[in-house]
Amino acid sequence: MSIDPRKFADVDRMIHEPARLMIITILSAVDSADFLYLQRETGLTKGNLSSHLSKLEDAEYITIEKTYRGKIPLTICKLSGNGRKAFTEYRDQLKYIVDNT
Amino acid sequence: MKNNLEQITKRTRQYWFSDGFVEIVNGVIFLLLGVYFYVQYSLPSGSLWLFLLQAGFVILLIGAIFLGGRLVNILKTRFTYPRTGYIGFRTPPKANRWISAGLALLMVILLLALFNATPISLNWLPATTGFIIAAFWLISAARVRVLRFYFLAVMSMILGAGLSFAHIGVLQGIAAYYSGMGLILIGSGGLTLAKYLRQSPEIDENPAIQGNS
Repeated sequence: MSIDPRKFADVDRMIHEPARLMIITILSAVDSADFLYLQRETGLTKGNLSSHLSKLEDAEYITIEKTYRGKIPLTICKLSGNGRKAFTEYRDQLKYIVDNT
Repeated sequence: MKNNLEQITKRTRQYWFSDGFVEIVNGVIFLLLGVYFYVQYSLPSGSLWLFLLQAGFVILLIGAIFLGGRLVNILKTRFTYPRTGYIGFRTPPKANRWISAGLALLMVILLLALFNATPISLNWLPATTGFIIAAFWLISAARVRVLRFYFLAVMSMILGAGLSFAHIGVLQGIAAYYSGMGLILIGSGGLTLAKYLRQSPEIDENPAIQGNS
């Protein structure tokens, strides 16, 4: 069975980028995660992670809350409703492509 | 990037148990339950203290579970989150919680009916307790894929069955089961904590840099 190759182009590129895919995957399994956890799990540098988080926040896929634990700054990230929907669609698209190629 | 997505999700779900605090705190609660049943066994029947202890069991248990949960959070905030980060887990939907509570209640009613119907089966209370708690560890092991939970399930079954076969008495058996299982949980959690602390030293850097996203 084969599919229209244009289906590949429909994949959400905001999520498809490997680093952002890791971030979204982690956030999809939990309610929220802080910057340190995401950094340790993804293996990204602080600057790189910050940049990807900003892009995801601009796309309204995640929400970022800056707070403090004692005197330590804390950045809490959450997958938004839009982000969860986009991730589900992305997984369905990918599954469709894999199943039909 | 080499980790696949399934592994990332799996590790994220296992994170709550990565430091051993859940087992240690549960172990302390089990030890206290062991002491509770041993005190019950030691008190003369008909004494006011025995009555108060028996009447207050549910309150003591709920209090211990509530305080245990708070203690785990305090320990994680002090030791785990500064080392490897914070995760907030999703709370299960209300319907799921009601189903769990209903199943637990049904299990208690069935057990009480069983013990009332066959008085000699009270001797099997440690074994029954051991198997129920083993079932909890097996369900947890299957859900979060933490291998040491299988070991805890096996230990719970062996300990409970062993104490029932030993015929040391119902209260003594239950007291010994909870004390023994408490020590096993503290041991398992302690080893996990030692490994976690060795692998995750405290981050020593300017905290102002962290989280500048």
